[in-house]
Amino acid sequence: MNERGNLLLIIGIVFVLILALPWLVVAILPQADLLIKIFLVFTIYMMVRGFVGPGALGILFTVILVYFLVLKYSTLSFSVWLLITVLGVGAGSIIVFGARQFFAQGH
Amino acid sequence: MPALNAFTALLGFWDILSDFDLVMKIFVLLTIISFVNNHIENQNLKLIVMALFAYFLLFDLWQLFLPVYGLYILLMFGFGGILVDLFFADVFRQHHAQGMEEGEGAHSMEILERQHMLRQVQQRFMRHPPRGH
Repeated sequence: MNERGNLLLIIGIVFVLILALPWLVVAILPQADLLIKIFLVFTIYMMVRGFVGPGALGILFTVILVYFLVLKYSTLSFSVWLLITVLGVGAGSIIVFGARQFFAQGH
Repeated sequence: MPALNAFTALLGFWDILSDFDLVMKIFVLLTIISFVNNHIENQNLKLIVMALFAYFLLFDLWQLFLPVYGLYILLMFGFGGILVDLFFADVFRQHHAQGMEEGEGAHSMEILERQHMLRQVQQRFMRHPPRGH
């Protein structure tokens, strides 16, 4: 039971490290902040356009979301986007398997 | 002074939560608009249904709907796969390993023993056929 608890803790730490990756990147390369913001604006616009289509309503929602997600909390938003993408492409299983193999000796 | 710092930090965290609550409301509103647009053709009916959905989900039942929507988002993005990997894959692997040790291995040995006994009976029958044939 303790081994299972340790494994859960280790996998949780790995996911927290993935969440912390954008902060690390921005700390090492400050230019990445601007790139992340541009990328987030494109992503938000495409997502809103997919929901409501092109038009004034789409622009309005995009502006509100860009203010909160890009101007106020850009790094947090990017780390959440990164985690969602990692989970969405099915890499979560790979991470769990890798964490189990490398840190918990195959338990 | 540390208490004041902790209080301001708590206020900052509360601000973040409040902002993300608004962001989640916008995401839910986008989902409602997309859902109604895809299902209803009539323009007036579309607006009425959107308004009803928005009122009930965003204002009336928001405390109930936010966890449901969060769970839906998590499951949609593959969080269920991680839970299966964490809690069920281990159980299946242990069960399989246990089966190999206790059940299936013994079963294979029994089959081998039975085949061996059958072969011995056949050889004995070939050497000493029953009388009357």
